[in-house]
Amino acid sequence: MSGAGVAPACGADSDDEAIAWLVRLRLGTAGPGAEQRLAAWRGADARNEAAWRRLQALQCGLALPADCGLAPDQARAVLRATRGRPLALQGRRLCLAAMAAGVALAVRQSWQAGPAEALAHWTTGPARPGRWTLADGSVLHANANTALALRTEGVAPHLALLRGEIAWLGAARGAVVETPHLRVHTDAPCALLVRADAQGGCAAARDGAARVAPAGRHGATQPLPPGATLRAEAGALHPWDWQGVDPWAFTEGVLSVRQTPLAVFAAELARHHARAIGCDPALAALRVSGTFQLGDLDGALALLARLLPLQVRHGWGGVRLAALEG
Amino acid sequence: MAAGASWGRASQADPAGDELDQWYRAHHRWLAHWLSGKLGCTHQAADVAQDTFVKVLGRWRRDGLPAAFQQPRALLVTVARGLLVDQWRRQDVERACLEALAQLPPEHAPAPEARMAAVQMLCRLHAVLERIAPRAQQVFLLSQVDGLPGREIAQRVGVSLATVERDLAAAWRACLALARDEGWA
Repeated sequence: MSGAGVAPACGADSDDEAIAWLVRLRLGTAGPGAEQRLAAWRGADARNEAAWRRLQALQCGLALPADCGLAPDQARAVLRATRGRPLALQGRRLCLAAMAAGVALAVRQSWQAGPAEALAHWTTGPARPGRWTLADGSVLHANANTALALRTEGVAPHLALLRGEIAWLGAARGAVVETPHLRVHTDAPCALLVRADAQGGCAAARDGAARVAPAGRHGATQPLPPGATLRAEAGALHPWDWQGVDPWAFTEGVLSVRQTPLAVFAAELARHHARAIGCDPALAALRVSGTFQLGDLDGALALLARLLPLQVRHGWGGVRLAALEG
Repeated sequence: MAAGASWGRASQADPAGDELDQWYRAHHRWLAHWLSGKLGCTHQAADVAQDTFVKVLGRWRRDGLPAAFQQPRALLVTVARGLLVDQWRRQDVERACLEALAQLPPEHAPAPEARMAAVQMLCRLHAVLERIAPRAQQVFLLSQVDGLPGREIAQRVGVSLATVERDLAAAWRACLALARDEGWA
């Protein structure tokens, strides 16, 4: 680029010249009379004018909308957060590379459980559960908003669940599922359900038994008999009550509840859709029973409004279940 | 769209219409199946497959028949992979953006359309940043997001004004290239 205040060289590509003008104007280095010189350049050739308009439109599309509520430092924080997530985007890229090549993928992942070789890495988004049949015939369901890495080479399969929830039907004997808060080890082929949230993690087994330990505390291992659920939080395990929620139902695409407090029901729906769904404290203890389609949030909320004395209020940032007026 | 269905976007007025329609019929089912195997969700696979063909048609109309059409499945996989990455990037940015906006008091909450504009803008910025060098990223953000003048950017980054100009020009060239590839308005 030429020095400040100097017009771009004639004959150069119009796009490059337009960029040179834009850069100097934005940086305040265009010098005196820049507007007139820019107008002359734009009028000198139709291609210049087209290039300038194209760049102006692009600049508008890359500017933070004034009414969007985000301050520059918040926008910066969003970009930093999303660009710094190794398993949110970059890991998926690697996974895609492996898809294309049709070969196993070796991913170095760094999290609490330490580095591990992974064969595959999957993530699911809001309201987008996934289901995969693995080479050993077992079926892996990942609920919405889930990120996992699976290694099937070696002695026994190893699944690292970073966030979200999985149901692994037909998990082999010796299979291990780890989350940042717990480690599950199967003693026999069984169905495993493991959930990882910000505060802790839950594990349940079906059709077979397993063992659970809080992360990093193998000495605190406890048996996980079929039908039981243990939750790990703050380095300790305790029995977990699902409060009427069928934790396996997401594998069928539904949220199935029986006499479940409304607040718990709302939290389950919110988790699936990654939306804020709150309820008035006065309604929190209302009981909900029924089966709701997870893929149809509006339908589920409409059904809820028919079942219970409440109204559904849609507002900025999410949904509120409020008491009926009058 | 059902497998074996016609392209739907092509018309007799479109010179590429017949050829693309045949192309669509020959490969759509395969691509949807391939995506379904990777994503584990037939609905999502159908969406991505359709978007893939839409994008390929757009490029065909814009740039003419590319050499890559000689290997149609490789081309489709490449485009589909790009779409998946874009989709995931958008999900990540959207989630982080909503988390940031959730911290605002209700009276400062933006309208839904402003929120979506912010998400789109951040997704685009995210894509641009991935294409430029670290120092140019810093310069670009200080200019585009913070709106700082050149001398202040130079001071903050610790480089000369001429270097800031070069970095910013590189960033805008990346923007322009991305806009062409992605069909940004």
